[in-house]
Amino acid sequence: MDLGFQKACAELKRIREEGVRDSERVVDLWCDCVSRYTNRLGDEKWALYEQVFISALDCGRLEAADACLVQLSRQFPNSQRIRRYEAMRLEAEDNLDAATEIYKKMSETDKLDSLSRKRLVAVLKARGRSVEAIKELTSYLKDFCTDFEAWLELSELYLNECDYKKAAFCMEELILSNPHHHLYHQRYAEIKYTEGTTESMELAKSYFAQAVRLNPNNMRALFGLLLAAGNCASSTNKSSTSASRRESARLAQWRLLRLPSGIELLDRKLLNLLLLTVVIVVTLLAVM
Amino acid sequence: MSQFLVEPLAVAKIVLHACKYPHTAVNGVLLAEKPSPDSSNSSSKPIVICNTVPLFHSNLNLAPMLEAALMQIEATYKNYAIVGYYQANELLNDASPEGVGAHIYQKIAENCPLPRSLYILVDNKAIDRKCSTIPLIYYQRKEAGQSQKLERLPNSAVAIDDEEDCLETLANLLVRQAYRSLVDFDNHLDDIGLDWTNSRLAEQIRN
Repeated sequence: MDLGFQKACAELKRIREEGVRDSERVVDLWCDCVSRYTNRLGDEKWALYEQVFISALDCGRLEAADACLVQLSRQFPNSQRIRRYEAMRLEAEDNLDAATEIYKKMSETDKLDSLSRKRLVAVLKARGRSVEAIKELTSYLKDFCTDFEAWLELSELYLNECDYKKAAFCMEELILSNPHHHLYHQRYAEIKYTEGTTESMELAKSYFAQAVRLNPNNMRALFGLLLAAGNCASSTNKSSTSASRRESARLAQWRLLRLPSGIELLDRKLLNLLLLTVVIVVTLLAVM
Repeated sequence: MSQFLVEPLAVAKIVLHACKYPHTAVNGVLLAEKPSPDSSNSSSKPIVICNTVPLFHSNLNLAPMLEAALMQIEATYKNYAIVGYYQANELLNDASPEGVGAHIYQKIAENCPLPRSLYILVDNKAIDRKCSTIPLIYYQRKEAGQSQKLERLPNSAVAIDDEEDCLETLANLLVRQAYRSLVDFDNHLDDIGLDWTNSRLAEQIRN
């Protein structure tokens, strides 16, 4: 791919700013184009070297990673950040023991070094030791309780262990910190839905509804609301009154009617699904 | 005689899906044609897995989107049945089929209209650009009803249709980075205009 130098730099900048994980593209752009003209880059060059270094480790392109690390070490000797990158280079070679040593020393020397502690969790995860990774991350969060990235990661670790209650707790922390973020509400609702009890299904319905209110284009929340409302409507649990079941059914139907308002985005297959679901909901209503 | 015959399109989509997201686990379902009602239900003929639907690359353990996806698949592929499940694990050294994937597979197997169902696990270590072997491991649930255990099938139980050609096609696809144009259900949910049936990619693979 023959992109101009300017376009390549602009694309690398976009990937850097959006935080997208497209490591192969980054390394290809670097190797095909940008690496030959680093003298044109100015101060942006160091951020670029870092970005390419991490992406190259991600793809296993260790020669490109080494080339970047050499430049960074020359420019910033005795830097903790570079030390951490050296440890990440060891991780990429699967030399996890040596990497762990470095991270442990760094976190003992500087108690406020959150990044090294998080890399320790990453190494435990790479070894497949989920339970220890959870323990390490939990102790990290006691010291750095506002680290949202860490709460999200902890939630995922709990989900991998199928511990839905604790995964939900992590999402609750995130919702408390950022109550207008539709993705947190949607993820919480998905966890509650997966738990499967009647109460959790009702909660899932509410949180999906809230996610839709915050972002009407969130397809996962729309689907989730449809399914959760349908499940609540068909619930035969004695504690749910017939009034609440009728309300859930009406909500499901309302959602169905609202979905086609994004009609320019939907394809015919989705409409088939919606028609199928309308039939199911109407049948359920008839049965009650 | 092998129990299953997997077509190159299915193999290609599984491997491409795994290559698109090398840093996370991915999963999807396997499709085969529904037997016509008048054909004899011969369990000795191999079941032909002709296509797959790549599903998710994040949060494989959450139920609502999985349910939505399966409903969409049943509504779209009326002449096909879901006969199996595939998964690529997150860690390179993790070759275990157990976990959430096994639960999903058990449900699929219980509802499968054909006599047998298949669980394909991607062998992460065996994926390479040269494509010298098919990087897949096969499992099936044991016949005993109560047991949740999966038993590994020997490679002879699952044949690949035109294996040499399949490997060559796969090598070409990997070099061209064809996995960038693969759309899984997660991508479709992020951008509803994307075609999760991957009909264009399927044409490319067939040619």
